[in-house]
Amino acid sequence: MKFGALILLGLVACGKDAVVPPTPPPTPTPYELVVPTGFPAPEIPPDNPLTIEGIALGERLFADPILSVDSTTACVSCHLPAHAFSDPRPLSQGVGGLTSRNSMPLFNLLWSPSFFWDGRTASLEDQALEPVQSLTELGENWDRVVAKLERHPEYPALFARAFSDAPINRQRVVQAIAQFERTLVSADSKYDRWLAGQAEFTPEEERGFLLFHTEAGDCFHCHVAPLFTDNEFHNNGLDLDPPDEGLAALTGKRFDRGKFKTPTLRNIEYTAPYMHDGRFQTLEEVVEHYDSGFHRITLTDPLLLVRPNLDLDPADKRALVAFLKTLSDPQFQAP
Amino acid sequence: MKYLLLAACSFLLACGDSDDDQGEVTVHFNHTVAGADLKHEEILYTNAAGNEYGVTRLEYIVSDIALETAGGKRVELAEFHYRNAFVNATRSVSAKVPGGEYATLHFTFGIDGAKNETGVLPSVDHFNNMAWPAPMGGGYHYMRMEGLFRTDDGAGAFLTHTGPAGGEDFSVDVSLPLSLTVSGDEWAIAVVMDLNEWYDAPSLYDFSGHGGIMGNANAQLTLQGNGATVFSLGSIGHPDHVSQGHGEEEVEQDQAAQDHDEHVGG
Repeated sequence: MKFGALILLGLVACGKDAVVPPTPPPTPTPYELVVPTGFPAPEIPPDNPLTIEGIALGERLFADPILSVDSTTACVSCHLPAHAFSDPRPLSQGVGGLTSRNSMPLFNLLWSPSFFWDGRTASLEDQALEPVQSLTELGENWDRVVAKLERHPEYPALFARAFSDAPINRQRVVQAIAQFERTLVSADSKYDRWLAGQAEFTPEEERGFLLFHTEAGDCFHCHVAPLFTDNEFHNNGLDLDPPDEGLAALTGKRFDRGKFKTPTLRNIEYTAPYMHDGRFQTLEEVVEHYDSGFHRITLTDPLLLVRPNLDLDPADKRALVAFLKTLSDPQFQAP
Repeated sequence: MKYLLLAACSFLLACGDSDDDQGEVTVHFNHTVAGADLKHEEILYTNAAGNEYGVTRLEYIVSDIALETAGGKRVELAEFHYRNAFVNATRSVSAKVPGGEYATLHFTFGIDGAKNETGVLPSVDHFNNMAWPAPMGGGYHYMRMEGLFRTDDGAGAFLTHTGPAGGEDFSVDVSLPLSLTVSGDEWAIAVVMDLNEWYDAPSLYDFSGHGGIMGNANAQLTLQGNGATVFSLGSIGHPDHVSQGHGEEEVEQDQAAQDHDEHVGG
């Protein structure tokens, strides 16, 4: 009985002096990414692993005009899911006017080493920092964004779940958006199913495939499978004197004038208009450009300059467009 | 017991000696035109056919890089190596090799026909960008050398794209005699590609007569034949004394992108 009293004393002492162990912060649930067959191994920053909660938060932020100065515009306003997260307008309408370039589609970004038409950022996190504070696009400043999110009725809890109670800051915001963007994977086109032996090309699509992947059309040097981009920069002869410096604005090199990043051709059917300035409305116009419409200047890529016009016949041009449409992934378009 | 211990000791020492002999050999791939270090873009060079030209792209694959002793023992340094002449990070391959006297450096320019199939290389951008499409025979380009040359009516372009045209093997087996004694330590070998040699002998190669040559077996044969004299050895020895081709201008678009903070909408 005496010992029992001692034990009781011990419990009381504990109750009085010891700190109640805090509830451990919620651990975000890892997200299992499925890498399509033949795609390169993705590189995910070690400090921003994909989690179910982080992705959900990023998706919500992507669609929320809270990131803009006047609560009118969100990322999704210019990156529309129905257009493979691009904009059907040549230039996009931000809070401060029109952007200077066409909004790029957003998918398969896990396999992109650079972002923007001129490749000026090397991570999705850094990319997402820019539009928020661009006076043309969302026109907000990051301190105000963080303050708005902190006093929001739901965001503090969502951030706590996504980042284990870490405070809300700009880094967490762009990390969540980047997580969401990394899950935008598109690799279920007719072309993919054909490659896997699960679909047949029509004779016209087959003809287009052959034109695309031989020197007759010579599309493959820049639009390299499986991503259908080489992730490099080219001047494709759009202008005699490029009004947009493109890559040269970063490098300062005159040879880089008018060079822009090769866009993927996956889902190209959904991402009109085309080129960095959205000058072409249709795929037929794009094919005409490469057939005989580009300017022959010393800045034009040797891959184009090397030959006279392609002079494809009308059936060849139709076949190329037919093949391009096999790169559409209807599942990716589904809401 | 004493003898046993002595025997064990000497065995251990012998093993130690062998490990000490192992050295690290680095092979650099450098580029010159008529002996001068290669520069990016500018039209500075003239080939044997009289084409005045500049190089916008030079990337290639070498494979089965190996050292061989006088006695015929081969040590592989790397199975595949991608080189972009304007990206310094791709300059070299390194491997540990056993101590000994080596008499020859071997490599294949391109990939031997027996294994040059689509998918043999890992799916990464730099290898994928060298793909030789299945309708043209499949596998990978050996080299993509591209650039501009002067013509009477302005600028022309050349694409010296070598590879397995029509599924045939046009790779080049390169064997360069050398004298390298590896005894521990680090060693470097500079291999030099002289670009003009592709276009000189035994067959003259004029850019004017050649556009896209991926489907042109005759052009591939010409370049394969000319390839015999393209590579030579530069200096060999301790790494500090071996040229790394510092004359090359590096193109670092990604780094430039990271360093740039000017905002352009879109």
